[in-house]
Amino acid sequence: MLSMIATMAFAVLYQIPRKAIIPVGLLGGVAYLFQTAAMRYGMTEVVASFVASLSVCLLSEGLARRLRMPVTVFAVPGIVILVPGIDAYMAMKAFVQNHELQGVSLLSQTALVAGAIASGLVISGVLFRSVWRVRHYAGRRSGD
Amino acid sequence: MTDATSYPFGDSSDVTNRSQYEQFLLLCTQAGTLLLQFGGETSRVEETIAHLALSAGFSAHEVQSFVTPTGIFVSMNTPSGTQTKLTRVRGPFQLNLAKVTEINELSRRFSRGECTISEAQSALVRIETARPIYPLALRRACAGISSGSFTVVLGGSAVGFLIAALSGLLAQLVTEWLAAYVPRFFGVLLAGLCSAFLASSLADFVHAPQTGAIIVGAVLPLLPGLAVTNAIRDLLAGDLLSGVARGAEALFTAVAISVAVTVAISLHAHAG
Repeated sequence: MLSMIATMAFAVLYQIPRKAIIPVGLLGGVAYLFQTAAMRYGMTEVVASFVASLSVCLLSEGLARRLRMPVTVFAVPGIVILVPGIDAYMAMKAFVQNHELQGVSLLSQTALVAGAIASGLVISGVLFRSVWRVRHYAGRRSGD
Repeated sequence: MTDATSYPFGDSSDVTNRSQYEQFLLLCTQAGTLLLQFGGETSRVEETIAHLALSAGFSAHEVQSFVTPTGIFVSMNTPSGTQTKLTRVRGPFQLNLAKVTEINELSRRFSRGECTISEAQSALVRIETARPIYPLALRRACAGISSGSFTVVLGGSAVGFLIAALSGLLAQLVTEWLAAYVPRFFGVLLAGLCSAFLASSLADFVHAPQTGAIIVGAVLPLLPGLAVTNAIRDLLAGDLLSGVARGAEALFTAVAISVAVTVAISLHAHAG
């Protein structure tokens, strides 16, 4: 619930269209739900973030086509809740307290989670781009 | 010239026709500049220009564009030779995805033939000068609300919500103020420093638990979410140059935030 509010408020900073606010809030909620659920089923934070990011980005692409808006309107606020903020903070704190080894390990964890979120974006983008193209050309050939 | 090419406005040695070509070129660069300034991807700009060209009646590849995050090149074949226009895109960049959506919609209307070039141009001016749909005060309040709620999601308390909301508001105000004077990532560095320091001092002052969650929430409005997404989408569309450039911007911003947080907590450790 709070993740939805956080997402919606963040979306206002990017001035997304009014019609998109509610769907974006739901996306934020879905992201948080998937991430926590996946972690409860024993997945690591990296895998859980990937699962959540992929599902949010797929939904964003679908919503963008349905509501005829750019994908970024949905994807940017949708994935914000997944950002590994606490990991990054702990890493910085470890460096400040001269626990270099711990800092490096936390930092690589942060980088991996960020990479997982990015790959969610990449995979959904590739899927939708190619699917859309195939459909587009198929439609043309049949004389549409 | 082969028979396959078509020129929508006729022979360009005619003065009226030539000005029509120029008007069309102007429309392309205006739409592109606005898209970039409001936070659209460069691949979106290239697609929009190609779309406009096709619907104006040019045959494919008669209008070519090369767009980077800081400049737009459009070149167009006319019966009397090639016309080229180069537009340098400078800030102020203000993120406004609603306006990106509206320009998108305008280009669709144009391709359905529902408006002429001059109507499209005046519609662009209207979009550019329209007041933002969310007033400034609401945007600032939302910066605070998103910071606060994020803190609670990460395990903070009600006090944490308040502290993070205040610091998030500060971060937003500082970035707004600095945007006109310094590069974006430097503004983010200073804003992150102010807000992380305020957050950690306040948290210490009232002995709030979960200082980490509060600081992370406080710097939330500074995250380069759009830069990351645009970088990836540009790379996927084959715009390697823009993708790498945006990726570098996102990386700089992320590093700036972490440096700011590090400095803030070490300052705080020494002061306390």
